Amino acid sequence: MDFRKDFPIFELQPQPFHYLDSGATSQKPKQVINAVTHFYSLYNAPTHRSGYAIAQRATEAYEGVRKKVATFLNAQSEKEIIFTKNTNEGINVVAQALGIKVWLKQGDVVVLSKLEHNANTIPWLRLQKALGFTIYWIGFDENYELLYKLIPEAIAENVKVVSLAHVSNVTGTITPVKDIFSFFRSKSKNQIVCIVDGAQAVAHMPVDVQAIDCDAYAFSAHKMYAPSGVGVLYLRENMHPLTRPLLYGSHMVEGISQDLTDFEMADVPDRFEAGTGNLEGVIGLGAAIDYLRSFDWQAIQHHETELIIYTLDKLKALKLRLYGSPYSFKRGAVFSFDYLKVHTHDVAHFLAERGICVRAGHHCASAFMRTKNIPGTVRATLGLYNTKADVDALIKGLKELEKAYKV
Amino acid sequence: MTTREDILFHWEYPQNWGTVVNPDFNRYAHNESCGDELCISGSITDGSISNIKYFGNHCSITRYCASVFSQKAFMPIGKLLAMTPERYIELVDMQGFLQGREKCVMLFYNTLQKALAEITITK
Repeated sequence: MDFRKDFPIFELQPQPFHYLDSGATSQKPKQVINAVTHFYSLYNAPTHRSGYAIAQRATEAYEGVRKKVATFLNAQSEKEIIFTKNTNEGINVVAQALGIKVWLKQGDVVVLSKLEHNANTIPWLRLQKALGFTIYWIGFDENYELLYKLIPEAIAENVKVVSLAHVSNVTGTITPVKDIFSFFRSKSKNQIVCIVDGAQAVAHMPVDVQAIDCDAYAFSAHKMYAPSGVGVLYLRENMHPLTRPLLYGSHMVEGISQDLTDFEMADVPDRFEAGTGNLEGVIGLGAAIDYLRSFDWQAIQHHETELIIYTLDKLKALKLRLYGSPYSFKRGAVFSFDYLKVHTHDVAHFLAERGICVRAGHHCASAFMRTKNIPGTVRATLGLYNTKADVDALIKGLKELEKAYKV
Repeated sequence: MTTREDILFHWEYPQNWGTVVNPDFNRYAHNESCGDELCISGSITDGSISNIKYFGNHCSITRYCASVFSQKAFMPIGKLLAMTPERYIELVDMQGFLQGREKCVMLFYNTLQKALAEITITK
């Protein structure tokens, strides 16, 4: 299936152009670009406030996307879908909410893994300083799979929060979140809040929040072929009474008392959407969901799995160190590697000179980098528009680098 | 003009690599965004740099700049502190490598400036 033809950048960029950085941000199909252009050209207006025709249309389109997201994630209701800025904000909302209510206290345990993005570690580290709970870091084995069953019983029984990436942005490990949540629910004496960072998952696999049995699921739209600056937080309805927003002001308030001394908060999701939202971003997100749903998930996954197998085979023949599962069925399209003798930035620069776009650095996965005691990796990530020609260009570039640097 | 071959030569044969024993200045720098590490140490005699060395885990651009500039740094501290970033880039001849690598090019300069500023304040 030719996904590439839908993405104008591949025709407009000077050649060669091999974009292998979709884990950082994805390219946008013309369907999304057109939806944003149409919004600005045809019905740009404030949502939820005005009654004239284009304002009604904008509101209906905006709220229509909320329903699409709810269906996309198999949420029970669109009331469980909150538009945020990105994954970071989504996790902050949940962490902050649990912190403000002092639901987390000394003696409680928050479980994270050493594969987490900083978006899912720093909010907890900040709260830990204020509230004094314990963070338990799940380690990983030689295949970069999480060793969650190693948690001591005495710690497991005090777990209150489990917050994990669905797919690691550095090793590509697909986390069996459903099994892990079920494991911790069976071990803890507390009611557990289970949170998923879905940033690297939503564009690559079907997500069913009810099947996963999570309380919150956060992702960024720009990694799933939609515009930047908009994200989604799924928040299970039973969590709503627990939560308080990060931002206060317009739209999130139900009413203000006559004497101006108090206010009543609106229900979720309005409670979390103070001010005017990212209207064009949300419209673009709706178009991205339509775009993804216009294919069978099996077609997307078949295409990506074929590429993963192909890339793994090719990379294994090089002199690099690969950080990630050797098994294609246990990993996403994320390939992190380094060379003992060549700095990661030099590798990325060398490839960039050949029109190959990869990322070098720590990828905001500080826990992983500290555990492996490395400063960073080179990371190639695939999207549905990539082809074997992109992988071949990467491999050819790396072979030239190995020769130039005498690896 | 600096070529990739020049950079690779200094990558393999860095000049002034190491540490100065009993240094007058010593500064560690870490670039969090890319993981570059650089430690500069040196001696001062009569107000001028008389010895300078560096080491660390960093990229070839950072190492090239350190290797080249450490050979040109034997001058009065005041002159080094007054040196503009533009002049430094000229001296290491890295105008062609700034795009996307400015932090790597500037790491040695920025670290040395901080190290010398500390000395001036202390003394």
